[in-house]
Amino acid sequence: MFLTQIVNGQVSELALCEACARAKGLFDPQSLTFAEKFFPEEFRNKLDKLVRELTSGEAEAAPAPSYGSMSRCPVCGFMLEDYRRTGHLGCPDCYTVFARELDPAAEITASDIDESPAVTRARLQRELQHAVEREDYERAARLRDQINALPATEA
Amino acid sequence: MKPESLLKNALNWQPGRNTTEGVVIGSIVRMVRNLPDFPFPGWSTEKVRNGVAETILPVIKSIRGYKNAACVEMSDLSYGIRRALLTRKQLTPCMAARQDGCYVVIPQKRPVCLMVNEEEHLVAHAFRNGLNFDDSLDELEELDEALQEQLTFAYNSQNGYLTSIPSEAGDGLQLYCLLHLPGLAIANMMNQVTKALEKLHVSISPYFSDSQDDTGHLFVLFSIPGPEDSIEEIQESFTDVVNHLVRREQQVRRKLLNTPGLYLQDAIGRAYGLLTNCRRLSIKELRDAVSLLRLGTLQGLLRWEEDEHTILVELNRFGLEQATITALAEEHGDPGLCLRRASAARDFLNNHPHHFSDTTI
Repeated sequence: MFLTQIVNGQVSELALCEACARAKGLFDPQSLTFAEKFFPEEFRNKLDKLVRELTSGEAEAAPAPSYGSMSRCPVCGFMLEDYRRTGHLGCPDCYTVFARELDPAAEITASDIDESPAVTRARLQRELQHAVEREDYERAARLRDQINALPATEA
Repeated sequence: MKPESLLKNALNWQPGRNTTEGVVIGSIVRMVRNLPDFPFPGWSTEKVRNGVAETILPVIKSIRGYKNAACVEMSDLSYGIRRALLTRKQLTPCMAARQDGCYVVIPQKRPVCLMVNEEEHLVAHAFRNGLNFDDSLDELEELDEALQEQLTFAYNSQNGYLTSIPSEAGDGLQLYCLLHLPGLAIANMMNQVTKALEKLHVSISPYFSDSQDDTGHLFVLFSIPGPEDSIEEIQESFTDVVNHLVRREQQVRRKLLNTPGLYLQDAIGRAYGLLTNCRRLSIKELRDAVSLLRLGTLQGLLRWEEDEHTILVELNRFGLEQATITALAEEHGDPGLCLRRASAARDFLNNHPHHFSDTTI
C-alpha cells in the first residue's frame, strides 16, 4: 500500500507491505474512505502518528488500559473517540469494552469493573461449548481466539 | 440473479390498499440483528462483509418462503434500480450507498425485504397496507425464529439485541408509517407537528428520499427506539400518535374546505386542470397533483365511476409507477420523459371516467 500525506506543503510518502498495512489497520480502501469521511480529525491524527512511528522507527508506548474503560476495542480496533464523535460502535464486543462510557451508572452499581472479562469469558465459553456441540468449528475457533485474547483473570 | 428480478418482486407490494381513513397508506416494521463475531458493517472490511454474507445468506435461503427470493449484491444494482427501490422504501438510504459484500433479498410472495450489511448485519423490513403492525410483527417473529435455529445473534441481558448505535439496542425493532397529510402540509403546520412529535420520541420526514421538501404531501413517521421500551409499549404509544395525527389531518381538511377563500378547492381544481391539459409534467408537479386528486376524491370534489377505494389505490399505483419510471430513467434532463409523463397523466384520467363537481361553491 502506498500512502501520501501532504501537510502544509510537506509531502510524506510511505510504502507498506500488505502485512504491515494490515497490522496498522490500513488494509481496506473502503474503510479508509469511511474513516476519512466520518472521523476526519482522528483519521489525520492516525496518519500523523503512523508517519511519525514509521519514519522514527519507534512506536509510542501504549498505556495499559483496564477492561470496561479501554480507549480502543481490542477486537475491532474501534476507538472510544470514534464513538463519542459518531454515536456508533465498531462491533458487539465494544459494548463490553466501552461499558463505562455507554452506561456511567454501571460504574457505581456494578460490583467490580474487573468482573467484565470473567463474565465475558463465561459467556464465550458457553458459546464455545454450544458451537462445538453444533459442530460449528469455524465459529468455535473464533471464540477460542477471543477467549485467549481476554485479559487473564484470577481464579 | 438478475437485478430486474429484485424490482419485479418489490412491485408485489402495492402501498395504498386498505388505507386508514385515507391518511395511513402503509406500515413498516424494521428488525435489525447482528452476528456476534464480526465488526458492524460501517467498520468492517470487504472480506468481513463477505464473511457476514456467507454466514447469513444460506440461512435465509433455507427458510420456507425465501428459497426462491431474488438476491442481488449491491455492486450489481444500477443507480436507477437503487432509486426505484428507495422510492418504494425497499432499500434504505444507507444501503443504497453500499457496494461489494452487501446484499438485498426480496422474496417472491412475502411483503418483506432483507438487507445484509446495511448499517447492521441483517435488516428486515416487513410491509403492510394501512395501519397494521401486528401482521408485520408476526411475520418478522416467524423469520427471526427460523434464523435463530441456525444463527446466534449478538445479545446481552443488559442491552438486548446489540446494534451499531447503542441507543437503538433492545428489541431491535422499529415502527414506520407512511402518511398522506395534504391538509397539514397545505396549512403550513408540518413544522409545528414535527416539533410536537419530537417530544413524544417520534420523528417525521418527507417520504421521497430524493427531496428535502414535502413533495406529494407524503411523509414517513417513525418511532425512535429507546433501550428501556418494549415493542408492545412502543406500538401502543406510536399507534396513539398515528391516530391523533389522522384526526388532526381530518380536522384541518374540513377547516380548509370551509375556508371562505376556497383555497383548497382552487388547489384541487388547478391540479385537475394541470393533469387534464399538461403537455410537459415534472415528477414534482405530478406528485403534488396526484396528492390533491386523492384529497379531492376523499372530499367528494372529484367523482369517479369506479368506487372510491379502487380509484384511491389506482392513484397511488400511478404515482409510484411514475416515480419508479423516473428513477429508472436516470436522466433528469430528458425532455422525452416529461412529455411521456404528461401523456400518461392524461391517459390515466381518460381511462377512469369521472367528473369534477365542486358542490361547496
